Amino acid sequence: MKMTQDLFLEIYDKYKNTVYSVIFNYVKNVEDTADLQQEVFIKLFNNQTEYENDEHIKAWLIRVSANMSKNHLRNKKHVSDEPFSEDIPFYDKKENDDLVKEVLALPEKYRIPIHLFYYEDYSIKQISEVLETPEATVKVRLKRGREKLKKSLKKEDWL
Amino acid sequence: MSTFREEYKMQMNELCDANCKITAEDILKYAKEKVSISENVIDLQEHKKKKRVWKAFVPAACFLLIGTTALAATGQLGEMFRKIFKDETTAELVEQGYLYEIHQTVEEDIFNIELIAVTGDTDNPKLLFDVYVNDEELVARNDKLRISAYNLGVDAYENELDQYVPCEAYGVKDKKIDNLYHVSMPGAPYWMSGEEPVVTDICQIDFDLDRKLWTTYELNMEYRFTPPQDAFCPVSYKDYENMKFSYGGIDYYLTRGEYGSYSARFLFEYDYIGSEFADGEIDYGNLTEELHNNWLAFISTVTVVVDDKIYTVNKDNLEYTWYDEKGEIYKKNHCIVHAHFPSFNYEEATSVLIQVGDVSYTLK
Repeated sequence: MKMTQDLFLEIYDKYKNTVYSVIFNYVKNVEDTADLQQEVFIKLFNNQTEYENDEHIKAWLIRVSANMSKNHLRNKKHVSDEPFSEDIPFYDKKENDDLVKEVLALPEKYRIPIHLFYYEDYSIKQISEVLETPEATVKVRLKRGREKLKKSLKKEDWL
Repeated sequence: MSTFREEYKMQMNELCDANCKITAEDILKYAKEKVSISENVIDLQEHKKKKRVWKAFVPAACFLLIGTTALAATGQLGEMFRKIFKDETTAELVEQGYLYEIHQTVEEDIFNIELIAVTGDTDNPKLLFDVYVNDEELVARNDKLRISAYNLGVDAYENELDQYVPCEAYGVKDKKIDNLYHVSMPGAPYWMSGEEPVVTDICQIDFDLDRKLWTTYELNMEYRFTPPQDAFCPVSYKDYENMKFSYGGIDYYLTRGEYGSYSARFLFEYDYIGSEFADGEIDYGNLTEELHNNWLAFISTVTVVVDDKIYTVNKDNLEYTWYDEKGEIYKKNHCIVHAHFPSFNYEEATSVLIQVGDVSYTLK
């Protein structure tokens, strides 16, 4: 299927949180996330790719979100004398945001697979494909990410 | 009891719903705008390399008001930094004569921008611009604007521009002249204090920063000039050896002190692969957060004592620059981190000590 205006509106409603949450997991900043989210969807609208189905579009959105976020972070690092904030956060935290906060505190290599596994219900194989990372590596990163979360959440049997 | 998966999804959805405010219709409108502009750009390219990404309606009757505030006098420029930018340090440097007036004006689209002068110290050069915006509607609804510019040596500008990110600064609206905004922008010390020709290219100006969609002008406004050495107050640099501070399993070595007008900056170097955090990891990017937290905890305990007066780190201005394998300073898995302390006059100080707990070293 090709991108049309109606399909775009449907896809946006369906996957706006998918895109937002992936970008936010990388950049941890609401302003940059909003900008990048717009860019991803504009790219989708202007993309001439023939999509197989909704899942194909979703995978495309996640991959583009990840790549654009990484590019964004890479560019930021090259700004000379860029100050690095003491606090990592990033958004107006609410009372029940503890899990999000703990996931965000994980190193990026663990954080993104954990997010895709628990939020998107992605399998190891799907995570491996979308992040272009070997399945074995994804498996190890999920395991280590879970161990770190268990420690920080102080709940051994929850994950 | 809900599972981790259910709880995490719920919290993440709440976060997305609370922060993701833009609608599909907005994005669609923006996407279409971009397509139509891209098409226009192709038509325009032969005439002028310019594209406008998102632009509000510009009235046909533009107005032009320039040249009424020539601020040639040093005293006036000093006062400008003091009153408009609340920058006492730069004001004093200007008044001491650290200033190179340029007065180059470039016009493009609705902008008429004068690069008035450069000043600062050799580590913190400042570029001073007057930006005239000839669009009544934009001016009426914007008390500030954001300006992005490259500031590079000629060779880097002409051959390696894609490797750099432009610097940003905000413009402050003049109290008397409606369409005038004053901008003090940080320059790149490496090129600015080299007594070589430099290029400043204003590449973007943004308005409506508090709206969902900014009004953005992409520009190419070039200024070329060669700042003399005495345009900037000199910074004293001192290199140090064998000054080790151990903290949290990492040995931090003080390697350099840079004593400038805006701050005293100390550089520490450490071996991150040898740290307990590394645990076999050799990719620095995967250790950033742990290393950063340790660094913060360490630097918070450092004090600098200048003639019995104690200084502590400015946590709002910590630099955490790392260099990839091509970086000239990055070497053999070592990382260099920086900390700014309040400025003091190193040359005139009688004694300077740096200490962490029981360990202290004499810097002067």
